[in-house]
Amino acid sequence: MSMEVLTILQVIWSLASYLVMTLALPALLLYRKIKHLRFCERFIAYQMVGNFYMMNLVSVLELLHISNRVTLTLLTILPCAGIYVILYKKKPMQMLQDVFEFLERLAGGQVGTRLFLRRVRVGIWHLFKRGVCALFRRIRSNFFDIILISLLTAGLCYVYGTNLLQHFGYCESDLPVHNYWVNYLGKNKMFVAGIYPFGFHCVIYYLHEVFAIPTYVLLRVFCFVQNLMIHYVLLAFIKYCCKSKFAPYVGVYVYVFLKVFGENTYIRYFSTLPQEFGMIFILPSIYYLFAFFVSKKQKPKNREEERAPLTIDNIAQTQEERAAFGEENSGWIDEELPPLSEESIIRIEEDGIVKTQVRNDVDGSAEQNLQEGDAEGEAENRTRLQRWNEARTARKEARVQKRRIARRMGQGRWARITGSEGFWYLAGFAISFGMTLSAHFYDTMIAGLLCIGVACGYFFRLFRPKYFGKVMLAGILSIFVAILPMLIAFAMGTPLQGSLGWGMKVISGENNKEVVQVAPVKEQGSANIGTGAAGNGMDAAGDGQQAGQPQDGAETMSDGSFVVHQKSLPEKVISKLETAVGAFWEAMKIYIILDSYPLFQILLVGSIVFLALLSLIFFLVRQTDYGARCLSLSAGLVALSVLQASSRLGLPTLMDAIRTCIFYAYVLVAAWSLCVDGVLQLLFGWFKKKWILHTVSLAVLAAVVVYSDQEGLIRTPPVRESLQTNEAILCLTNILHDNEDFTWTICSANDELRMGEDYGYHHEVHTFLRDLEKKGRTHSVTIPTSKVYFFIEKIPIMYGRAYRGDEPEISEEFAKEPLPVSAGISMYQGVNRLIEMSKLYEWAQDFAELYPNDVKVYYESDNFVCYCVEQDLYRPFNFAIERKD
Amino acid sequence: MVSRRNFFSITLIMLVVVFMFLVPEVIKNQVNNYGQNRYEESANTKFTDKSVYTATKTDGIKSGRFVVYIGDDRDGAVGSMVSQWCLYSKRRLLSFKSLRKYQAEPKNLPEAILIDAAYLDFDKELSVLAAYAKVGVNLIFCNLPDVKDVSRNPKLRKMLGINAIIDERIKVEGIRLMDGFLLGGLKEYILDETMEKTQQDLDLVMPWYRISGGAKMFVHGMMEDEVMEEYYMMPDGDVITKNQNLPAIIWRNKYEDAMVFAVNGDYLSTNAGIGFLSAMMTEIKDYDIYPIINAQNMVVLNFPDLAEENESEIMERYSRSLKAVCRDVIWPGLVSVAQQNAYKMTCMLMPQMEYQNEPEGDTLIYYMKLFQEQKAEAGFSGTHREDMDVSEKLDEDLELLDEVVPDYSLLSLYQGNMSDEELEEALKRKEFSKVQTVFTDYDGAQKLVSYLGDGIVRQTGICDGYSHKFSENLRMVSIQTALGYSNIQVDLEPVAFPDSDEDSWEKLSRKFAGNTRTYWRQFSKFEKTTLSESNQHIRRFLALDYQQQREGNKLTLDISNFEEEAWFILRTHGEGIKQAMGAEFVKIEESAYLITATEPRVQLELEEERGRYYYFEKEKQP
Repeated sequence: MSMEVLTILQVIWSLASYLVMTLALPALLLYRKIKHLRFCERFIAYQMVGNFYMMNLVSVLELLHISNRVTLTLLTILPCAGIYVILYKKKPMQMLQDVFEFLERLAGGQVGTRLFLRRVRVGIWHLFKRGVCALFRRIRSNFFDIILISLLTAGLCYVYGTNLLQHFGYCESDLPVHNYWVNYLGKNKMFVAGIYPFGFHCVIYYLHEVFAIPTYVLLRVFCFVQNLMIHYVLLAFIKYCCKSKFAPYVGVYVYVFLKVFGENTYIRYFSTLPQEFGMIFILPSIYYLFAFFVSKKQKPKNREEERAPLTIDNIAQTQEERAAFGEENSGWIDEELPPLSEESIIRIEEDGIVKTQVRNDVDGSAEQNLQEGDAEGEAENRTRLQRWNEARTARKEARVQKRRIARRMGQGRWARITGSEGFWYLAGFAISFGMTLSAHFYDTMIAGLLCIGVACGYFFRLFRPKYFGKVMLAGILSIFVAILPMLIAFAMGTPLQGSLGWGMKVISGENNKEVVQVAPVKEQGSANIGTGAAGNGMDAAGDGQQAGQPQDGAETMSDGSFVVHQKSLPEKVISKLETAVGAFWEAMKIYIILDSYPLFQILLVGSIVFLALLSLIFFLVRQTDYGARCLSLSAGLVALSVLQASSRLGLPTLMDAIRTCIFYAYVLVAAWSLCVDGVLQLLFGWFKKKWILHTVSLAVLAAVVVYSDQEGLIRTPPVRESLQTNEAILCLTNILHDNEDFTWTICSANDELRMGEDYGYHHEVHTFLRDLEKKGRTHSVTIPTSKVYFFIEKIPIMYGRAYRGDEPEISEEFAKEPLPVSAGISMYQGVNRLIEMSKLYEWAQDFAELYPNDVKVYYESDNFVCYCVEQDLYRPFNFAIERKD
Repeated sequence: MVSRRNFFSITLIMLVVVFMFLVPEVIKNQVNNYGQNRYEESANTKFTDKSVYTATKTDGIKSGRFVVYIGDDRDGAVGSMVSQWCLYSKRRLLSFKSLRKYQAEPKNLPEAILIDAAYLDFDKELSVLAAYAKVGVNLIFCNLPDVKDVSRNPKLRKMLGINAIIDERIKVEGIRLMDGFLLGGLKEYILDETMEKTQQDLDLVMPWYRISGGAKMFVHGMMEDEVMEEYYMMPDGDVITKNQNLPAIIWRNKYEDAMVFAVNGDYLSTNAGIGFLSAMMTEIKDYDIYPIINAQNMVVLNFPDLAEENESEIMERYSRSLKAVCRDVIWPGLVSVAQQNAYKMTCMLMPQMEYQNEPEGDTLIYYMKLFQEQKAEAGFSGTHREDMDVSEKLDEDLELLDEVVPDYSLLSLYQGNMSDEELEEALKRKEFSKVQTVFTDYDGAQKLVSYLGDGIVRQTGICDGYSHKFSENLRMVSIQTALGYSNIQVDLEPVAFPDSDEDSWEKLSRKFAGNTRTYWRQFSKFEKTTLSESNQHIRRFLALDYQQQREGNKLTLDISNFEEEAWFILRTHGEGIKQAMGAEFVKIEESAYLITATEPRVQLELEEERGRYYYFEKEKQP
């Protein structure tokens, strides 16, 4: 089998496993309870529940040291079965009894085999027929959506999948560390290298353990799965925010297919990293906040409705609520209400919710409206009103009775709390926000900043004492739940992991010494940006305020001293603003959108302003939730902009700009979609027929596609070179396939150490060579496994940059150099790696000459060779041979 | 009352049943051609002693199979073994009693120089050996000089890859033979609780040489951890350190451009050493293909006894007569072992031993029929009582045979305790005119298979069926490696005339069955033959010559003096046979194949035995 086919199969298996846990299983349990929600909302809910369960199940079992395939599988199946039984009021014992009775009848001959087989056949046929019908119904009703999502998926496969088939190794240097941590979860050693957010590792470990996918395979290919999810969640979020059907695709299309964004905004998508995994949960947390506030808009009205005498308005409002929950029975409304005549109802759509109002053309009073109608219609409506009132009173009494009983049983308050929509939205917020922290601290920071944006957008609802407390409590609880495993481990004496300590220092401002990356094209006003030759991504402190340079407003005198001119307050404010805008502009040009695309640069800044303006307009036209969403995103982007430019503004650098830009671009496309949607809503949203709005949005999408194609903006799949050779992965895969576990050793640079840790042994090249040089003079150097594989790069990997064809090859000259004495990864970088590989190659040649029949070339290409030494364990080779020369 | 109809039916059924049981027996008796030797025709061959191939100088140059021996090739020890090995492996041998006498031709360098240490002047001739090593001539030290000589000769130590001499005389617990050297895999010759002490008959006292890095050990001594700890600071359970430093017995070192083999002991001083030499040649090359006999015999000696002899003793032990013991006890046991292991028996008839009671001709016929059914072959045993004249014995026995089975051709004869002269005289008898094989007991100094003259092949027993000491096993494994040949001999004379309780059949049969099933299992791929069939194999083997060449993964074998079939062993280092033309092949073990050539030209396509399962798409593209 070719590696390419194998990789595709591995991707499919990983995707299927992940979707089982984050889509199929949650859907099986929750679908009937939340089917009134739109698909995008349900999708987000399934994602959150599935991931949350995996993360926390693994965490709990790890802390109890009983995590293994059996416990994980059992504790997945049993609770799911339990929840299913409770939620859907199933009677398992009765079902079992029925099954046994049927089997008894089958065994006793009361039911013949033919009849049984016929029933099975008919049952399967009906199931299949129903399934196919349902599928076709869905396809028919969401035809364009399905087409567009399919195209998006195909595009994602093309853009982010191609690299997987070209570069099989890890693309980031920290992946071996994550591999190491996941491996140790298998040994029930959580936080093996110190306390660190382990949500991502728990999910990977869960998939590895339950679905038998090797960890190193997951870390190679799971990036594609999480990319799909990141983009689907983005689409789902925009879908929720927008009113038109197809405007959301505009943003996602731009994000996936256009080459306007800087490389840094997407290059990490080619690696399975916790930060990128955590991005799945950022927008859902914002979605839940939006949904919570939307539900709180309706809540007071519901209360008033209970108190106020029933009028036609109230009836219309209730109808509106029903519509908001979808066409089918929501689960919270138990009985069908008597229908109103179509003529007396106006349907309008706001905030993605279809609202219904009774016609109220003259003075807003339904009663008056009724009076103006003909006598027959009036009598009919009054009869209906009476029936409505009776039904409502009966329902209210039943509810009161139910509460009373529940209170007696001590469950009243809890049932009231959990029975409300708001509770579940806040729970969703807590779960998703918590998972950002479980996955990666940076995700929490971004989610937090976007929450600040939501606070700005929903200021009119958030700061009500009732809601503020609940939201804050949810936030605190989410953080508590996320850090609880870490707290427990900390209490048990586990120290913080190094990078977490570093993060703490960053937050406390102790670690702000970074270098500013210079803009490719310097503009006036940004000339004083520092000139440090930055590594790829190190952002800077200091806004050009280097030692010996005059500060803002200072003038240099002839003797070199500075004279500071005092400025007035407005001048200072204007100056600061100019600096801020300049800094942001600079950061944006470097990291987010390249200079080659000035239109998109303007769109970036413009969208922030435009969203703010749109929000004002929508507030004015009483579409408050929509306006709040626009304002939230706008404010969120401003907050992100500050973070992006923080180093240039002299603020504490909480996050490198190179990382911020990933999130920035991710949120930006949502803002662009919302801008398009806002404009369309202003122009076409007032039409009663919504298909006009949807058609125009589809036309806009088509226009964007055509425009981008004509302008040559569509990108080719980016290439991300891996930090391992493909040949090394090929050999490792074959070694795992060919040999029994722990009968082999790979001697290579450190890359394969963690990849094969669960299956065999690893010996570092540096250690091996050092042993040959020092220990080998007096002692034997042996590797006690029946097979020893030596991975030698003839053209050593240059860490941190792609192959360019001018890389030096290993040679005898390099082999004669002394062994590098540096520690850590540096001994495998640059010339050091060249020396190590040259020395190993020379040694292998000598050894093969001594043992021609025992040293085999396992694989060889132009830039790589793998030697296999087969040895009898009763007579292991002494690898410390004397050099021939 | 039974009705007539029922009576008729019952009678009919009974007749049918009687018919069904009787007819097969009658047919079997009629068809059973016990009076004829079935192998007389089928095991026939045109090759005689004149057909034996001996490599000439030209052959040696052409085939590249040419070795030089420094020592006496007629000394009955190492030299005999070397000359025997060269005969069997179709090599040209040049033998010199001193290295100085050998003048190498630069264009015709030998594959290896085999050295008997006793014939080498280590002070003067070591540099000559070093010069040969420099030009790529491999060196095989069939034995080593005295440890003191080794100790004071650093050049020799370097050549041999001896890192240190830990002790001049150490007694090891056992010996370990590494996997992949001889056929049959890993062997550990060390006593455990279940074994008798007599099982260990190997020479366990030796100098303790520790080999250096770059050398490769094939056989080494085994020692207990406590003994090792006296010499090394060995951490608990550090098996690796231990194995590295154990006393080396057979190893090879890379010296200059040559492989230097060393044998610390007398393992190459008998004809059992031929397998070691074959294994060494395999180690030197990328692959090795060489002819073999491919015959596994089970020879039952002195069976059956057709007269009532040693009655009181036998009655006491078995509560029945000797004839009954042979028929009811011994024969079923023999058949059971033969069938379980798919052997064909060759039974050497000994109608009587004491000549006091007349042997029964009917009993002989009975056994001849059984032999025929079991595809066994009858030979004649020359074993006789010491106080009896051989010619008298032969007269008596042959008279019986002539009377009972006059047409049966005796093709094999067991020498027993006949002297060579007596054997020569016996072979002149007309009853033995068709004898093609003389079977003798094992003698380490003699050739394993050879012509006695007059077109008669001499085959020797390799192992005793009742005993399988460590040295016997090592000998068997070695000969299997070199020739794919083995003879298990089972002597039933001690059962008829026991000296002690140890000679009772229940004990002997247990050993015989156990040994056969255990130690020959790894060689089950070789052909099971009677002596006549193996005689045919040997004649073909001794007559043939072959040339082989390899291009890429295609190996071509041209066989001369080919008759119907020839057998070869192909030994590789991780390669296997993908397909064969003009031959059939079967895998004996990892990297070892038995090739049965059915045509004089054989083409083999080789491939990696364990190729990579995963590959890159681009690798598939041409």
